Amino acid sequence: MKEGTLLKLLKNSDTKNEGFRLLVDLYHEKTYWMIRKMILSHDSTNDVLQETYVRIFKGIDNFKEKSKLSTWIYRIAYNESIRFLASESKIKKVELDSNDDNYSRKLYADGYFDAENLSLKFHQILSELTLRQRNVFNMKYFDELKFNEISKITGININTIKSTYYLVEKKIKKEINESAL
Amino acid sequence: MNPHYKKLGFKTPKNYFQKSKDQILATNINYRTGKIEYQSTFQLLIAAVFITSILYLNFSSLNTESKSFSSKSPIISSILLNEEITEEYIIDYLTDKIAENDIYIPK
Repeated sequence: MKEGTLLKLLKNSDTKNEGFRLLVDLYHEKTYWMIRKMILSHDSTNDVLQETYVRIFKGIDNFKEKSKLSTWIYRIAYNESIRFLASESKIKKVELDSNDDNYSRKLYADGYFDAENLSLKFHQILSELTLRQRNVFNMKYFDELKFNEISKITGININTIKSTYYLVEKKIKKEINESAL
Repeated sequence: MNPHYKKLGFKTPKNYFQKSKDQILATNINYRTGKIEYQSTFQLLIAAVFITSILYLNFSSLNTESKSFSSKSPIISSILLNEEITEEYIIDYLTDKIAENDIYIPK
């Protein structure tokens, strides 16, 4: 379904519910994985996901179509995740440029984390990245978003996004090559 | 989405996505539609209670005024204290009233 058609359904009060069902069908799973890579724990991800869709349902009438619908949805999901991380660490603002010291603890504490399939080395590298670096890398590499989309979602300058991604990619390649030797 | 994310080791409970989807739809579509009705009913109820309490307070204060009496009144106190009404008593009472209310009583 084309985004324009979906928006028409969502903006009309008679078809809003039908449009919302289609929107959830289209973006629900992708949004979950995006949040999960930031939050790590399944249960917390589920809470953030539910809150994200409450905000989407409430806010869709005010969506100005300045960006793609998907970008707007991921931006809400990103903001909700950041809000959750702030409340989790009991601080008002998440420091994007610091490492998450609890990365491994959160990962292993989660009941829905399969250590058998774990690429230990990969997670170790991710845990050493700052939150900003990790988010940029995950959105580009796993979610396959474009640089300008990541910029709109995170509110970070596109050139910073590009340099961050290439820096992280280089670091990961280097560390994986070194561990393979 | 790049399928490599599966190699990160993240798992979900069985049928999670269907259940989660149902929960999102139930929360936003069914619940919110119902909530609007609930809110308007609730607001009406609050308004009704507010108006009733204002009316009650007004009428109860009116009733209090009509039923209230001054126990200093010579007639009342004579009933209560079994005393005879004397002229002195009435003069004292009126003097007190003049002092209290500053009412001019023509002689």
